[in-house]
Amino acid sequence: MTEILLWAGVLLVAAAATAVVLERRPLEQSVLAGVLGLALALLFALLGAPEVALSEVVVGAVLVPAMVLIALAKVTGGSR
Amino acid sequence: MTGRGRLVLFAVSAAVLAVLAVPAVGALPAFGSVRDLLGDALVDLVLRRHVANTVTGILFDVRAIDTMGEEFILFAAATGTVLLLRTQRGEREEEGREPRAAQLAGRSALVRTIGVALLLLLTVLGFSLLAHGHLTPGGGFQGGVVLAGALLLLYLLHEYDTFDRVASPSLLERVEAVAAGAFALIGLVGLVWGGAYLLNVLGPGPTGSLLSGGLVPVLNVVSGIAVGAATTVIVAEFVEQAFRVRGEEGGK
Repeated sequence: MTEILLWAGVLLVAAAATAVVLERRPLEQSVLAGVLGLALALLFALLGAPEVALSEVVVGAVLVPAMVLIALAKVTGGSR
Repeated sequence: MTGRGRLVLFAVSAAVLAVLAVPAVGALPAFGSVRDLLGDALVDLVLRRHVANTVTGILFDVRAIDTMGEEFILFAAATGTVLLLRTQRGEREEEGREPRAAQLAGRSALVRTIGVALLLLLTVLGFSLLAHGHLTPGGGFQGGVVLAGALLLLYLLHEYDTFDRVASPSLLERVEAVAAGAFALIGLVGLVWGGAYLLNVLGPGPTGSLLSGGLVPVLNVVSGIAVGAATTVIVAEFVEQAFRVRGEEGGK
């Protein structure tokens, strides 16, 4: 059962990462990067590392999309 | 290189990587099967120093010097951000509300309700993670950044005045400097008392209580304050640069 969960987590991370790479528009890409952070956190929690999972959620799903979106707002002048 | 050439290069590299990586990952030892000196040191940490969360114990007791280095990395990042994004000679800062942001999204009641509920949840969660870092998974870093995220949520709810008052960079820079300096100075107590910098000098206390683990909860709280303040400073500087600083021509 644990094996299946671990494999599901790995496949989820792979799918999220591929989606981030294939998406061309920066706004959608930053949201997908947040999803990738959450998928990684899930995988870390499944592998028995809750501290690392918490750090990943906090950095990959909060800080990275926030900073990318703010930088995007500055660069596009708020039009996109 | 053409798109097709890139795809071919990717396919070849992926095939080579798969042939090498899959047997390597399969040959890794199973969880919990390796015993070494570090494992024994960690068990000693839990038994003698009464630190329930071994990861936080490593961060603030066994390898506290690395955590001090990380504190100062964050300190340098926050200082660098403030320095780079300061208002320059040809720019001016607009006071008061963000003109475009306030027009773009109205004050929808649903957003405000969910936002306030999430804000309360995030604040309580952040302080809980911070305070119980030496007992349950979490710690100063995680709790501090959750609190900074709560502040960012405040900005997203259009509460600009509250955001300015709570997240004022001048206040937070001082808080962060004091906390980072306190971390370094607490280490000196260990040097004076026992001959090693950042030695765990306080008593162990009963396992599982808030006052256990000696110096670990103290350093945990101090580093949590420093991390929360630094992250908020960085995010606030970004927000200020994106929405409030205008060039002299009135451009973006």
